[in-house]
Amino acid sequence: MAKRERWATKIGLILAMAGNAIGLGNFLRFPVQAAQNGGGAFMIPYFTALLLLGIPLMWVEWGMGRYGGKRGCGTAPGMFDAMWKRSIAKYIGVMGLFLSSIILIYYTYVESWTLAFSFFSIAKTYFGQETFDTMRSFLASYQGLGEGYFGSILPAYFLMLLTLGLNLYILYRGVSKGIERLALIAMPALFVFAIILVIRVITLGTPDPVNFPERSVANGFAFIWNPDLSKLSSSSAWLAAAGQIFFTLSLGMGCILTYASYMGENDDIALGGLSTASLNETAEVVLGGSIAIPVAVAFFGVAVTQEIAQRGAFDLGFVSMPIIFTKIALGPFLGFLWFLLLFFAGITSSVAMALPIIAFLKEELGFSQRKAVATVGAVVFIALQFVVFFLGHGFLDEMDYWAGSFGLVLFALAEVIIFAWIFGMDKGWEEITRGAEIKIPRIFYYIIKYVTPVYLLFIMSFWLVQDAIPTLLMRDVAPEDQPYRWGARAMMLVILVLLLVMIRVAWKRRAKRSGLQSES
Amino acid sequence: MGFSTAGIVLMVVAWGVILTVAILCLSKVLRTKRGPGGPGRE
Repeated sequence: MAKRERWATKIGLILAMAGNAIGLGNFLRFPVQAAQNGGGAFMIPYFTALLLLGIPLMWVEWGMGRYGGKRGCGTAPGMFDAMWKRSIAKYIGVMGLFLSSIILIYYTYVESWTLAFSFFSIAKTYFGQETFDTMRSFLASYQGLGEGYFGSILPAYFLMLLTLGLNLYILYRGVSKGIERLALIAMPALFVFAIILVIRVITLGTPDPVNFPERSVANGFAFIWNPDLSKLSSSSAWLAAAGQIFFTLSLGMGCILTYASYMGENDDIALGGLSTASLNETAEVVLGGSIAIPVAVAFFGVAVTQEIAQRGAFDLGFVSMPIIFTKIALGPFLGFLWFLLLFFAGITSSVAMALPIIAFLKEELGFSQRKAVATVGAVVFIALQFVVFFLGHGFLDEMDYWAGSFGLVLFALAEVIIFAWIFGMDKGWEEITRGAEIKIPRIFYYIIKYVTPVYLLFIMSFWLVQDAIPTLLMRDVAPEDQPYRWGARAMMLVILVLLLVMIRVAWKRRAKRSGLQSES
Repeated sequence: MGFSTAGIVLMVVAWGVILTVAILCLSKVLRTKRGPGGPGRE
């Protein structure tokens, strides 16, 4: 078995894991979800989901990853195969390569927008676009979706290439010299930037007390935190909370498995998993909830902020925030910090998404580091062309739904069933608690075995009926966009089939190797 | 819309729980000697 890389430091591992979890959703998606689902009351289903779903799955993924790493497997096909001695296991594990690869493709493009807007902030490029319509037009022209400030899509294309290049360079440097060093710089910087922005938001008070006395930061916090307990009686708040916990911790993607595979055999899982989750929650609940929505209420009022929230996270991050930066003192600098913060959140996640497929190419197919990174870079580059040029036709949205939403729950369900029921909860519990720096309460044995799978089944069944079937039938898609949506599905199918073929080839190589070893 | 007492209490409790766990975990991580980079590394 070839010697595998290792994380150089414990804090490096924790920050890399936290970097994987902390993404754009912490700062844009969470405050919108909280405001729409009962404000402070949302914290009740949110913490329930964190305890019954988020933290248990975090430990399961760390445990599976370390177990696989000890056997020379850095990805889900090898880990599932080691835990479940059936030929089907490795093919189910394909999801751990497929989902992260698909998300990586479109996430790289979105990440490049944050880098672009950090340049635009410091260069005051969007200053002068002071209404929602003009700022939306600015963003659309940057994305090549309409006429406006940018004459062509070339700037967006160049920044996309730069972002992809930066990702590939970090990945080429490897786990400890590339990803870990990035996390050691980017994560503290991200927290410092966020704290500076929160302090600025809180000190804004009431920006226009004469004309709009009700538009204040205090009312912004009230908008997020004042509880509406009536929302708790409907299932939607509980499902939204479970979904948010799931996305924010980057569960069910395969990235945590690969990161954990670079740990030592007896390295701690219990404290590491909890540290990752608590750092992520600090970035989300404490910092993420204190920037975009409170400042939007302070400048636009509650009614307009509700409309912004309805339009989604991108409108909040790339339209309303830039408008605010044009209106406040030190706006260019604060805008630069905001978008660089989002870029750091993005790049620490995207390198994690690329690592599973790189690890697979190296470990199962014998690729060198250079060849594996170059192959992944070439495939992502080709696939990105469709995302960039068909953005306005829902190509990205289609990929995001199947890989970035539905697929994650499906894969997490497979993980927890294999871990707790097939591998066995007794062995699984031993795996999670071996080398633990803190004692995990025994109740989590039963939560992982019974509650988490049922919780996941409930979420998946609900989404299947509510979203998956209408999305599959393209009920809300304009007829002219449907061919592009089918194109996205075809591309995902081609990638899935390619990965399945690669797994088959890899296991034939394994069989050949073990045959040669037994002969010798 | 004013910031209600219940809203303030919920915010303080949520922040308090999260920050306490994060600080306790991180301080223990920084104090621990075992694991990657430490003497236990293979």
